[in-house]
Amino acid sequence: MTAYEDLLGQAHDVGRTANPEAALRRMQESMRALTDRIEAVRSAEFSGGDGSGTVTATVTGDGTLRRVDISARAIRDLPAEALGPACVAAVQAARAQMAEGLQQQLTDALGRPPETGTDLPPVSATVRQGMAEGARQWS
Amino acid sequence: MELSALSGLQEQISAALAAAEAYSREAPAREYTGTAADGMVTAVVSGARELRSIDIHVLARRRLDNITLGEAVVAAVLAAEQQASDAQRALLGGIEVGGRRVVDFLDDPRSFVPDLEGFYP
Repeated sequence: MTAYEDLLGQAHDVGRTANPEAALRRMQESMRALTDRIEAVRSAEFSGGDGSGTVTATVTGDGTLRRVDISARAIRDLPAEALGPACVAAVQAARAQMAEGLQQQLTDALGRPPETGTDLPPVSATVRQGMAEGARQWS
Repeated sequence: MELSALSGLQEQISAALAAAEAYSREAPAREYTGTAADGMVTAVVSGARELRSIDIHVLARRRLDNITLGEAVVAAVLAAEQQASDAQRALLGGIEVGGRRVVDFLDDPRSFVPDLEGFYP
């Protein structure tokens, strides 16, 4: 069972059990385990290179750029106009590594890859629909 | 919660979502620039934090060693991203839902998760 499924099961238990205190505490522990896992990825470091091995970038799990290591050889061999694109390529490679790490953690936690893509309905439309349905039930 | 308060909250959520969607549509087309090393290194990012370009002046390659140049690249990128963040805060800064500012949620989503510790005596 995944961490997310644990959390869902415990959320259901809160409303069904005669002892909601214990169920709430279990749910809180699961929620903390899940957020700790995401926090661990956010503080981890991921590196990527420009392909030639002369520039390496390092980012944290939230995408923040921490370091760009430009080799002495890059300074010597690359013209100034090629150095910038090499740095961009290294940063993009590092962020791709970060995204892969984050996706792996989410897949482990959810038991399936997180949904992505542009075919998902806009968030506001989904929320508005939910609120309208809720309002109908209240009235 | 009374129905009128609930209705007010619903309107605030709708307004916040509409503003966030409008911003997310426009953000990729916006560009923000940061510089370092006396303007010898320039980075450009989009409003969606995508790194578009890094320009290293020919003088930077001559005057800076490789370690200092790497640090200047980081500084320029972070400065450009700060510009993007400032613009985002300016555009979304006035939006509140239930008395909480949307930008505060973006800064620290975990602070909005209630802590159940001490919920029961």
